[in-house]
Amino acid sequence: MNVSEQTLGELLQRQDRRGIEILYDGYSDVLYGITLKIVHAEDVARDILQEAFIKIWKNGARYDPDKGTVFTWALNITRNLAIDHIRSASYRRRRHIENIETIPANAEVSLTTENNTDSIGLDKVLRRLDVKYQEVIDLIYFRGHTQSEVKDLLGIPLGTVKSRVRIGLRELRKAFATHRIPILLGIMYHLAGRALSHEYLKIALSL
Amino acid sequence: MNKEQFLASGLLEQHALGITTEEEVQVVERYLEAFPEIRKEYTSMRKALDQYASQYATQPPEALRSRIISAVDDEARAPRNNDPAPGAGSARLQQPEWIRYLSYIVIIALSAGLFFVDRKNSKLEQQLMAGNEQLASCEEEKASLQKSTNLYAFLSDGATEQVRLTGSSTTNDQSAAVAYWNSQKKQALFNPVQLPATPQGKQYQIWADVAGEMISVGLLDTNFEAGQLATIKYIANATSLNVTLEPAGGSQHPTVENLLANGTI
Repeated sequence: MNVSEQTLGELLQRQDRRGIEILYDGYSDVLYGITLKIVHAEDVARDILQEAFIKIWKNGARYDPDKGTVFTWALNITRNLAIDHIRSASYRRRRHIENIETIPANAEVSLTTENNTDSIGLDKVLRRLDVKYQEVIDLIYFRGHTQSEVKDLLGIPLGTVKSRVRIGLRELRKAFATHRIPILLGIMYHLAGRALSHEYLKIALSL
Repeated sequence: MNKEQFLASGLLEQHALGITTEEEVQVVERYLEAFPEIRKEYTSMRKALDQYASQYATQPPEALRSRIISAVDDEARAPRNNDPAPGAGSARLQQPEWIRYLSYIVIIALSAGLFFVDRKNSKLEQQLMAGNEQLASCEEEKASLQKSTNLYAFLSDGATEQVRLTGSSTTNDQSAAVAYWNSQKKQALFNPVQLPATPQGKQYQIWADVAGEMISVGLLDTNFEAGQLATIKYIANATSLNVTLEPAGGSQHPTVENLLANGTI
């Protein structure tokens, strides 16, 4: 199902159930993936995604299209819930226990969920982003740290953190701009995959 | 902060990454509105981050879709309650729960305290009023005691003479009235010991005899009581005191045929 951004926004603002379905079908993979990336546990990620969708549904009337896309809005709500979770006491306790019992399975390694193949082009983008920029951006974007917390965590001056954030974001923009065509192809593939049933696609690919 | 300073501050990047405080959000939004080129910059930053996030896309388990949709349906049926707006980056900026509970406790404690203070206050006010009443009655008693003391001092004064006024028409030796005469203090009191009650429209008048002339020294209240001392005028060189029955209001000259009693000073 493909609807315009505007229609989706309006559906959510009206608390129309179809808005939630469209949002789920369109973006649940990114929202789930981001949550997983942050919390490192599938059961927790599932709960947080549910919580995020309920919050999105409840607060639909407050969505303001002037401030960003539905995707950005939904992503922020989900990301914030996940970050709140890892910052909560229960998460820290759980991590602590895992460390004591030395569970070998690092959550990130043990993930069994399939990785979307249509992000191959993006992986290349990432590989091109210098690790020192990615590290700073990830600590902020996926861990919810402030720039001064990053300063303490990495032991580098605040000015360096700020310039790395700026350069990192600039590099990301550049990378995505030059990779626009592969991304577009990826998105088209993605949408096509949604439009056609998985079975139909398999038949098409096997031909 | 001008446009260049704003761009150099790093606030725009912070906002895109969702780590701005509420005050900073307001600043950023002002610049976003004022400069379309800043908005464009911000939008492309956001888009880059969205795309960055998108590379982590992971297909959630099949069953999750129906679970979440039905959870939303349950929420739709549940009574509405307004949660605070989530908004961009707000989750990190929301007040911790405990602050809210603490503020409830503080409010309750304060109102309870206020209630008790108020109650205590009104209690104290009542006590103060009762104290004031007691004080007033003490003052009254004191005044009356002072009067009695003065009276006693006057009566026991060596210079106070007792003048017995006896009935002229009656022969009993009991005094009809007694006057207390003090020529030092130049004061006098009159006690209607057993004067008969006055008829309607009449009043007793007391006279002093000064060299054969009768001078009025006072009118006795019509509702006088025996034993109650009334002040009369002191007249120097008076030789006797006389009581006559006069029309109410008194007379210029005594009506001699109505003389009830007299006594020599």
